[in-house]
Amino acid sequence: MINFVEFKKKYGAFTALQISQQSIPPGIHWLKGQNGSGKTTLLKCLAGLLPFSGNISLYELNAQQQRIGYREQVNYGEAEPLYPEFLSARDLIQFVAKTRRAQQSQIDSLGKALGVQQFLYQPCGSYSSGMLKKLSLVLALLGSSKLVLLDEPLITLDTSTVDQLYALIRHYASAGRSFLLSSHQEFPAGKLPINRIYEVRNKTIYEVE
Amino acid sequence: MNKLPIDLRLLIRTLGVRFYQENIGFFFVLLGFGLGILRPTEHIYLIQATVGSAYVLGIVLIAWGLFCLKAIVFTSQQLEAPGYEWIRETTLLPLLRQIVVWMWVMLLQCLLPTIYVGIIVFQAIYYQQWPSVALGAVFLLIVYTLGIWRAIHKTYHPGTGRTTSMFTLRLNRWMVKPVYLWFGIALLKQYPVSLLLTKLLSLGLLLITAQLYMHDTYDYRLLTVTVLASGFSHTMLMYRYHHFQHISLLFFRNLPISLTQRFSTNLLTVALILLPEFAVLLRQFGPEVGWVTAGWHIPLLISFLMVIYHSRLLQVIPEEKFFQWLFYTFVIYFLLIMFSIPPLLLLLTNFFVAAALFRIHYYHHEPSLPE
Repeated sequence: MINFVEFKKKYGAFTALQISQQSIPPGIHWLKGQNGSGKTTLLKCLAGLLPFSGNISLYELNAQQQRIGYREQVNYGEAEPLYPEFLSARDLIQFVAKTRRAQQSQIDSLGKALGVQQFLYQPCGSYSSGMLKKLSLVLALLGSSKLVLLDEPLITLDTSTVDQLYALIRHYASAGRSFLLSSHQEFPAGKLPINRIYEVRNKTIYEVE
Repeated sequence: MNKLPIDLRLLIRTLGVRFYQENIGFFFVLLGFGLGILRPTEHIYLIQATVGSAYVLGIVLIAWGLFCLKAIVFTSQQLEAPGYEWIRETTLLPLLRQIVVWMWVMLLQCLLPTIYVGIIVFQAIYYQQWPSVALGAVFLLIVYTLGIWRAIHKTYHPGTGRTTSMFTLRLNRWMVKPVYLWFGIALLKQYPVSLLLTKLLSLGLLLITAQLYMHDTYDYRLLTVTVLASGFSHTMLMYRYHHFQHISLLFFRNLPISLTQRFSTNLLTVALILLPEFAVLLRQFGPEVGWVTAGWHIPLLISFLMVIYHSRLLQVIPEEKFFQWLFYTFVIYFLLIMFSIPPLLLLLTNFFVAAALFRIHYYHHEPSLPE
């Protein structure tokens, strides 16, 4: 599914990540790594948020060449989302839904499952960190992309929302979507079946047996 | 700077230097007006007129007051901004120390008004205009007290005043805000003083030039130079737009939106910000320089802002170098206009440069590098 070829991410002269060759198959995968190991940078590069050299491809879509097609197939949810204070959840959801061609039924069901309906019209400046996280998860799940990248999806969420999120991931995974989840917390096997575990270490990515 | 205490050094870097960096376009125009248009003797005459007339003094103090208000609002917003929470640790300092620290920050941010009003006060003492002395001194006292109080209050009470009005909720229920309005709303909500000052400067330049056309005969170049100055006075707003697009809306880069759509959104956003200038150009200049000439200057003004905005995609480090480039660009434009390069050619070149910068650099721009 995901293929890295001579991938390199640098910040000025500092090399943050370097992956010469790596493939990740479809499924639900857990991305581990210590603080500062480069997990978020990796996810941001995969999401097309940060520039990099080399190549990343998703199925046959090249991230550097088929930029629109690639982005249609990759969604991203930030670890600590921040949005302009004056925008409401509805403003953001409607905009993202339009660009990702999401149906109103999906917007409604996601909003209901993650509890965003309760604060749909309030401006983001009045949200708690948990509310911001719920909104970012709705935005990250909208549409029908083949890959969803979730950076620390569990932080600041209450337990009932965490269960709802597990259910949503299972539901979308059964429909053929893949997930790459970065987290410091364990995913309970009974609630979320993890297919493979990867670790970002020494500026590269390894599969953990 | 290294000899200063650590708390003061950090605040000066975070709030003082940053204030000047963010308002560089405004200072360009201010310095251009102060050192380029007005001669030293005219400054002295202006200050003497200020000292002798309560009306003129009032106007000058209101203008500098707005500048100081901009600095105070800037500090308040930084204290609320994510990543700046550590500044609230100043509450652990003794109160007197806090006052001294914030006074230094205020002094750095409001250096220009302090010097200017200080000169007015000294002139007033020389001419024994005691009401002007008192007014100037009270002005400085109020500004500094307000600034210090506001900063200390914000550090003790962060997040106050964030209640959602019924009007906002009703508006959000009634409509989904279109994306091209987002930055305009951000300006009105988060940077009203910056917006006001930029518009005062930009519209003021246009209105002064309109008066010149009414009383004398000039060719189109005076209007083109004024449009250039008006465009560059928006530099700071364009930097805010860049920050808004690439930091506040970082997730946009993940969305499947074509470069053409993104460029069109930028164009529409910039055009909406310039609506007041369009009205002045048509209303004030149409009858004097001709409707076609006045009309051509509308897209020309948009094109200047598009170049400034998209030039930010060039990752020039250190930042000072970038501002040098910007200054030279202004001078080059000025010379081109003086040598009668047709505005249409400038307009087409500007749009071409803006589009090329966007196309080449958008996906290669590193949004997470310090700016």
